[in-house]
Amino acid sequence: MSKKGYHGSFRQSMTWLHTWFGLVLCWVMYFMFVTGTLGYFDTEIDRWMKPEVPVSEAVSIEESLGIAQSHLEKVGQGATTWYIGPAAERGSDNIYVGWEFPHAEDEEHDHEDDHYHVHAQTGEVIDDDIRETGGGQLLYRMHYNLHYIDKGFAYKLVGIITLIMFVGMITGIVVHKKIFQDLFTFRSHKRSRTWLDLHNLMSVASLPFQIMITYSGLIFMVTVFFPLIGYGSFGFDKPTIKEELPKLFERERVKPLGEPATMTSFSEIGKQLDQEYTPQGIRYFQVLAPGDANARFIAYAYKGVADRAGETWVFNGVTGELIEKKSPSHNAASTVSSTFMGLHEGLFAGPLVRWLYFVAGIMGCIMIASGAIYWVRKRQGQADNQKIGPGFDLVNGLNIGTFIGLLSAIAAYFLANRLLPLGMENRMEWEAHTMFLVWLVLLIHPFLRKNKQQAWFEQCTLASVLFLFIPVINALTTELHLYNSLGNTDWVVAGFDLTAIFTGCLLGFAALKMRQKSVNTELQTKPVAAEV
Amino acid sequence: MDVSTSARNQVISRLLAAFIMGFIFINTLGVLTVLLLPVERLVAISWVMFFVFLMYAVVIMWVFYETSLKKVWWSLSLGSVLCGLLSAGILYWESLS
Repeated sequence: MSKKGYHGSFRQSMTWLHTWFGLVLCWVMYFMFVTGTLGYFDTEIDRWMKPEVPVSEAVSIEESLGIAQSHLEKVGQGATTWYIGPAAERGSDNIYVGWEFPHAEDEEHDHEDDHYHVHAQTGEVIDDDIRETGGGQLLYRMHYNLHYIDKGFAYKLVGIITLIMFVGMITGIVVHKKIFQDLFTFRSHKRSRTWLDLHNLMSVASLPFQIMITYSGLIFMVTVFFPLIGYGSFGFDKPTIKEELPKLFERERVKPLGEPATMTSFSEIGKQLDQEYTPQGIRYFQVLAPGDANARFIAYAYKGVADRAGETWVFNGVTGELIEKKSPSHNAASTVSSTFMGLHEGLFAGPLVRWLYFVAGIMGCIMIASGAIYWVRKRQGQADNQKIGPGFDLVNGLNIGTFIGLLSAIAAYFLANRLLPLGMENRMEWEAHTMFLVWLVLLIHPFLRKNKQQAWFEQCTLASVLFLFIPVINALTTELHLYNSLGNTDWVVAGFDLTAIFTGCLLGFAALKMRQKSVNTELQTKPVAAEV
Repeated sequence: MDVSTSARNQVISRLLAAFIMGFIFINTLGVLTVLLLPVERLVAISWVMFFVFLMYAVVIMWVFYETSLKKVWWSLSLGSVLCGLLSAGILYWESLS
C-alpha cells in the first residue's frame, strides 16, 4: 500500500481509530455489556429477587387462558389491548396479565401499573405479597436506557456508543490480521503483553458473537437514527408514508366497531391452538379491542431463533374462528433484521444456550476491560521518565473504578434487595440508588490511592467479599438459601447463589494476585519516591 | 502529552465530518439506494435499513483514513448533494409517469 493515510498505512490508521474509539467510551460499553449479559438471566434474577413469589407447577395454555380471561374481564374493562403471558418457563410458572388504556401512548414498556401476576393454581393475584423490587428486568433495561437519563436521549447515546463499538470491532479485525495465530498466543510472563494477548484471545474466540450482538443492537436503533431514509424514499409525502411504512412493522391493528360483545372463551381457542396448529411455544397472547364486536385474539409464537419473526395466529375474539395465520415479517430483509434482533435477545435459548450467551457476554466484558488495561500498561512502561498526562491517570482510575467497581455495585444491588426494609417507600428506586452510589464511591476511590495496584487489590477484595455475602445474607433473610434450594433442586435460585460464590472466589483470587503485585510495585517505586 | 492545537483541531474536524456530515451523506445515499434497487420500495427500504449502519461504519473508517481533510469534507458534502439531487430527480420523474 503506497498511499499514506491519516496515520500512515491503512492498518496504522485503523490501529489509531481502534485505540481511541475503543478507549473513549469503553467504561459505558463495559456497563452495557455487564448489565446486558446479566439480562440473559433476567427472569432467573427476578425469581431470586422476589423470594415471595410462590412456586407453582406450570399449567397448560388452556388453563392459563381461562384464568387470565376471568381476571381481565374484571380489571380490563374499557382497555384497548389485553396481554396474557401463559404460565411457562424459566422459573416463572405464574400467569402474566396486562392491559392498556387508551391514554397509554408513551414509550414501550412503560405501563408498570397496568399488569399483575396470577398464581397458576389458585388463580389469585400474587403481586401484593411480593417485595417492591426492580429485579432482573430493571438491571437488564439499564443496558439500553442507562437508568437515570431521559429515555429518548439514552437510546441515541447508546446507539452512538454501539456504532463506535462496531467501528472498534471492524478496525480491530484489520489490526489483528493474523487472527488465527492470535488465538493460540498467550504470553503470561510479559507484563503488558499478557493483557494484549488476553484482549486478542477474548475478541477472536468470541468474534462472531461480539459482531452479532453489536450489529443487532444497532438494528434495534435503526428507526431511531434513520427514519429519514424511509420518509425520503416516499418523497416526504405524508399520506403515502402513513399508508406504506407501517406495513413493515406488521403490527395487527383493528378498528373497534363500538358495539359491545361477549368474548369467546379464550381457553377454547387455546385448545384449538394446542390440537390443530401445534405451535412451537407461545410467546404471548394479545387481545385487541376486547369487549368489542370486532375484537381480535392473537397468539404470537416462537419460531426457532427468529422468534421475532415467528408465526402469528389471528382469531376472531367473539366467535373464536381462525381468521389468518401469518408471519409478521414483511419480506426477506425484515426477516434477516428480526432474526438478528431475535439472536440479540436470545429469548429462544434453553438453559445450555443461555449459559453460552452468558459466557460470550462475559468474554465481551473481558475484551473491553483488557483492551483498556493494555492501553495503560503499554504507556506505563514508556511514561516512567516522561511527564505523565492527566489522561493517563484518568484512564487508570476509571479502569479500576469501573471494571471492578461496577461488579461491587451490582453485588450491592442484590444485597439491597435483601437488606432494605420491606415496607420502605420507593424501595425499587433505592435498590438502584444503592447500586449507583456504591459505584460512584468506587469510581472516586482509585483517585485517592497513590499506589494503583493497591487500589486494584482493595477493590477486588471488596467485590469478592460483597459477592460472598450474597448467599450468606440470603440465608439470613429468606428461606431460599442454598440448603433449601439445593434440597428442593430449585436450580434457578441455587444457580444464582452458586454463581455469586463462584464470582466471589474468582475476585478473591484476583485480589490475592493484586496483593503480590502491589507489594512488588511498592518495592520498585520506593527508591524513585526517595529521589523525588 | 503535548497535543498541539492543529492536531486537536484535526481530530475534532474528522469527528464532525464522520458523525455529522457522514450521517447526512448516509441518509441521502440510503434514499438513493432505495430508489435505485430494482425491488419493491418497501423491500428496498428493509434492505437498506439492515445495511445502513454498516455503510455508516465504513464511511467513518474512511474519514479517519483519508489524508486530506479538505477531500473528506468536499467528498461528503458533494456526495450528499449529488445523492439528494438524483433522488429528488428520480422521485419527480416517477411522479410524472
